[in-house]
Amino acid sequence: MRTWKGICAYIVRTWRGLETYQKAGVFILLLLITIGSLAPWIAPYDPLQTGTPFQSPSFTHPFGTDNLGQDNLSRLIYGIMNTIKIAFVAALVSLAIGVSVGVYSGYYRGWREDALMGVTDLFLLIPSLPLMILMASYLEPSEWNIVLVIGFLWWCPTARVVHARALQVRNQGYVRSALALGYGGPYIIWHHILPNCKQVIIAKFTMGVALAMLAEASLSFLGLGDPLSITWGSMVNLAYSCGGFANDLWWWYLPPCIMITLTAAAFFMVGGRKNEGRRWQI
Amino acid sequence: MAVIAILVAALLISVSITAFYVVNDGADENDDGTGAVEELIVGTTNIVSNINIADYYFGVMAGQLTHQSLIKMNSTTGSFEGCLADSWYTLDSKVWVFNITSDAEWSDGYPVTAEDVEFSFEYRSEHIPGYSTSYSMVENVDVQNGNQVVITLNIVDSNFLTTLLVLRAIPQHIFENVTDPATYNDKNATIGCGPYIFDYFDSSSGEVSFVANENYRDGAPNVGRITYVMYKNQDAMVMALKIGEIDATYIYASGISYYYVAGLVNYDDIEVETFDYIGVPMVLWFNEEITPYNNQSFREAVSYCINYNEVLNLMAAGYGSVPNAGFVPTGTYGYIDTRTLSQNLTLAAQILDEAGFLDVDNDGYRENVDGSELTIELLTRTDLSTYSQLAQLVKGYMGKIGLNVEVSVIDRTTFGTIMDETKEFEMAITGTTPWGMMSYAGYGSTYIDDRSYGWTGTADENYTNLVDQLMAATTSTEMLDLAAQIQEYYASELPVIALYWGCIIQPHNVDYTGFSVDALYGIMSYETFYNLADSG
Repeated sequence: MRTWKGICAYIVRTWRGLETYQKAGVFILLLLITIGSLAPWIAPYDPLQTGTPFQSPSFTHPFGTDNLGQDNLSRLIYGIMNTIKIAFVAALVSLAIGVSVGVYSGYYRGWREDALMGVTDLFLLIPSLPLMILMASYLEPSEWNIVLVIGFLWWCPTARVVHARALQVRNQGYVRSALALGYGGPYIIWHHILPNCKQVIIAKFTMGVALAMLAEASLSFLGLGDPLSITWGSMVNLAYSCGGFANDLWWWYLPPCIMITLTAAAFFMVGGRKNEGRRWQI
Repeated sequence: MAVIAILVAALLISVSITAFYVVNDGADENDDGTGAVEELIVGTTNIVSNINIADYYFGVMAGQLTHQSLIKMNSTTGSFEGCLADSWYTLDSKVWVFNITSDAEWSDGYPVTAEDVEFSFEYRSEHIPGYSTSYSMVENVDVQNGNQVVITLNIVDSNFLTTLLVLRAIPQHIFENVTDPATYNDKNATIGCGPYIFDYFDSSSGEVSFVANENYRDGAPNVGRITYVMYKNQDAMVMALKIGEIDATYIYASGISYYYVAGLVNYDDIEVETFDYIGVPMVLWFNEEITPYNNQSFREAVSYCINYNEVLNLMAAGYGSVPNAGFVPTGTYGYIDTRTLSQNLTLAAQILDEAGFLDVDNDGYRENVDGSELTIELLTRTDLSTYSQLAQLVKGYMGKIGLNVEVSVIDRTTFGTIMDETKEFEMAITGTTPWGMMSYAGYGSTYIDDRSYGWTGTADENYTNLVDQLMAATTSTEMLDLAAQIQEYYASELPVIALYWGCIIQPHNVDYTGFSVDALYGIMSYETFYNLADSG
């Protein structure tokens, strides 16, 4: 078991190994998560506290108020954790499915590979956003349904990439040695295949969170999210359906849009890397 | 040679441009001369899914334009007039006889017969959800003497003509072989006998269009074409109005939100009108079939915990008023003053204490009278953001008197099924339509009486007797007295709580004059189609 000292050393080592843009991404995310976690203490108002509707930005309400007079800044702060939580869990669900399918089909191959990759290809063929809209409109609006919709529809790219990596690893000498020593499939997958897919999985996960966040925002903007949950997407939807756009109340809808962009960019920065040609690769 | 070619080309272009303007000037003169409106483009947030007779909002449009009942309501006088029936009579408000007009035709040229009307009752009651409930008082429909429709009711109902307003007769020769009207989206499904004929429905552009029926028995209407353009929300619709893409907005049983008024009044070419609304925009419903919602003290306590002034300011600003406990809005015929609803948290808590709703386990929330946990599910709809926002507000108010509320939101269709059929709810928030308030015995009775839609499931004999008497009332004095009693019943028993009374905010292009508002369909009234003129 690692000691605290060991963990700290590992973190420092990892931090030092990061590119500058990755450090910037981590910094933005940590900052947001800190602000979001401290929302009840640092938000100027209760996000449900009503007041004078449609106030423009002022010292008391830096981002104005919405149609119920609720403080937009407070809702923005409270929205951080809800938005990230939904995106994070949705990415976890899609990662769990994608990694399982990828590793299993990549290691066992044969008819199982054909069947699972066939299903993956089928899912990849379906345009995911329209299907998500369709599914979300049939399900009751709730945070967890959004998580499931995103999670169950966005596992395919992960499955493809992990499958490719598993194929490479299973042909390595140490895997063949383990097989010769009589170790079973689950042991080899857990101890050899998965650890060697770690980089790919981490990269896919961070990308997944960013994409899930954008998907949640899209669904919420379309009114298919949970109307009772404060997320950035639902804030934009509210502005769009309650006079924000028609009355040019940019301070209502612009901040959540900027936050969505910034946070998605931060996740991309953490998960992406630059190759030698200095082009972004995700 | 080249010079000649250029000159000839220039001459041709000049002639073409001149001809274009001459033709257009001619068209304008023609428009100005007759005042006719070539096309009225109406923006709406009422989304039509398909053109079958089971589609709720297509049914609303059909009721306005293509499909008619035996009678109609004059939007100017508010009185009933013949429509498919030339005349009618009843001796006892139980057997109603209608003489069908001889010159009514379906848009495919077939005559409208008494058999069509009889068929419409039977077919719609059998196939269209809600119709059998709306017409539950109809025992039998017969045809006699070839052109008479005799409707026999199972109760005495002097308000039957109001209920009859939404019949929407359909042609027997089209529907007699249609077993599932909800999937019958053929253009024949739109054949009606009204002043307009359905033209097209384009789901991708969100348009539904109707053209004037040149062969209509009262003559073609003044508006040549009416096109509804559907918008996802009011924001998009109002922006379309501002840039002149649409001529007016229309939302069935509602107007646009007050949010948009300030932005619209700055536009010279847009006029914003307001008029009385006899529906109730937001209502808190109790399911009286379940404990503790069948407890009058509980309902009364809830009525005292709500901040009605705040609800009014946030939901309607100045475009409405704080309601009374009598539920029925001002402007309704027979309205009486009852207790004006107001917030009194001390009194609310005291009522709950006295009724035995106490916080036994000291968790900050009250328990049921028998000590069991009390978590109230407050149901509302997703189709308007304001519903869920209001539900959150009500949750907050109820929390202040120690009532634990969980808000649950569902889509409009499921919500309708729950309220109309399964009744699997505890408390709910939604509005009422003007027709809903007028139909059955009137005064919102269709929503409350368990024998009708009965959202509240009220089966109290004191109430049902009042409803029966109201239906049987034959003189206006008797009716007004009973109307007063029913409002007093609402005020004391509180089966429902109006959260605010509103008015309809109706913007339209200032170039059009002659909009006429009826209680059922607002500006999309029969009189509007004939009187609307282009003054621009």
